[in-house]
Amino acid sequence: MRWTIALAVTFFATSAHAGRTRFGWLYDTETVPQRGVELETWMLEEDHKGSPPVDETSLWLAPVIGVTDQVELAFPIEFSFTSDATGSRTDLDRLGAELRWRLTSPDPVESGPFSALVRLAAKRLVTDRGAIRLEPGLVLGLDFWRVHLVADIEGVIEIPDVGNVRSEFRPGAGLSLQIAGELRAGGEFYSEIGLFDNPTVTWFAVGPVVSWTHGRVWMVASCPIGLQNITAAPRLNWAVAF
Amino acid sequence: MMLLLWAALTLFADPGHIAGKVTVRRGEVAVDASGVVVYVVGFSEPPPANAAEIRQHEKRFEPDLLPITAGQTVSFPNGDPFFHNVFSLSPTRKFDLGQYPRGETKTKQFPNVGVVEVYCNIHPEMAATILVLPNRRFARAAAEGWFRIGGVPPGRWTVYAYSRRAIAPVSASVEVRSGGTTEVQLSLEETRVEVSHTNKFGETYREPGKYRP
Repeated sequence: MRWTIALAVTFFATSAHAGRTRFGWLYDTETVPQRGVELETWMLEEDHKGSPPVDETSLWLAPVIGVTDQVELAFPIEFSFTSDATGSRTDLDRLGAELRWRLTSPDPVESGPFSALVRLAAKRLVTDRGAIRLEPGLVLGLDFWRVHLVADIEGVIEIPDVGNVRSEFRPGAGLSLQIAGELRAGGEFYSEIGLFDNPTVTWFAVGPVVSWTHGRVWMVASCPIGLQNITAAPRLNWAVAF
Repeated sequence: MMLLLWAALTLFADPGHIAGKVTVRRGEVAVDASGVVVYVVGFSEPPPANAAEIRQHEKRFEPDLLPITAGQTVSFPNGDPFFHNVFSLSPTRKFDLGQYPRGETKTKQFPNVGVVEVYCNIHPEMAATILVLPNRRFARAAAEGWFRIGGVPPGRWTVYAYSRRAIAPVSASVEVRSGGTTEVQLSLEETRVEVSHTNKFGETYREPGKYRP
């Protein structure tokens, strides 16, 4: 019966907003609806990073709370396992809070094809108790046809208790194509660039990414291959909404 | 040339009326027709500036059938002393208003013509339908079934009667003449009970009262 007046065109086949990302290493522009909660988990690897090579596996866990339809707040806890020629160790790295503010309407019909999100995280370094780490970021999104494009510009500023400020620039970009339903595939480029006298290894990687949303769960698998100073950076993100 | 002439005649001709009666039956029994919306399709008009409203009151959407014009905005005030989460998974207009308490109102615009089924993610008994129509020529039938739609441009159009409890709307072709009133009789069979639906995650609702008061 619905065809009698149905001249409907679905603007985007994806749900209005679920707080998900469609990329592994890049932030995205969706936010959790007001008073919604997600439990978000990231597992990421950095294989043979730098010289001499270091292997790192990190775990990021956070509840993400929709403060309004455009503002969400995350409380991440970050663990890492590091292995190099001298041995290995597991650390509780960082604790903190992260604010993500979508600048455009969360409804794609109302916001149009462009979306933008700014974020700011403030974290305490557990292994350097007097230090603070700030992570500002800007994410720009564009949707057309089945394609979702993102440009992500992130920064990291660590102010230690003693010593010099460490800073990083983390630009990236990605493309996600809707394959069927909520299954998407694409690619992403991501980099971490140490600024000034930062001892952090600069690396670049590019690779495929697959994302899927099913009901209250979304997940992303990404496997960038290293272009410089890293062999691979596989990553798995998933979340459960409540 | 002929098309332009027809368009000009239609534009400047006096509008007509469509009037008549909808008979609603459930089995052999004639029932209240006030849940029926009658509308005309075949031409488009811009939406009115004012927003339509679906209120959340005593765990119900009021009204549960709302006709609007494509491009119009609908506001969803919460009049209950507890949270609601209004959402739709209809392809015509997907949206999720999030949870909000009494006294708050959220709005959505509906740019595309079609049927939008609206639910609450917390209360499965709450359901409403928004008919997003191409023009403003619609009316709600009286309890006895009488209706009258004014301002209809002259021409041959199709009139529909829609009820949330009917399996399908019924229609009739009408010829509207300038300044005249076209009579039409429509008959609807209400057989459909409220269709069960999923929550906004596509899951069956939890057993009522098990996890909430």
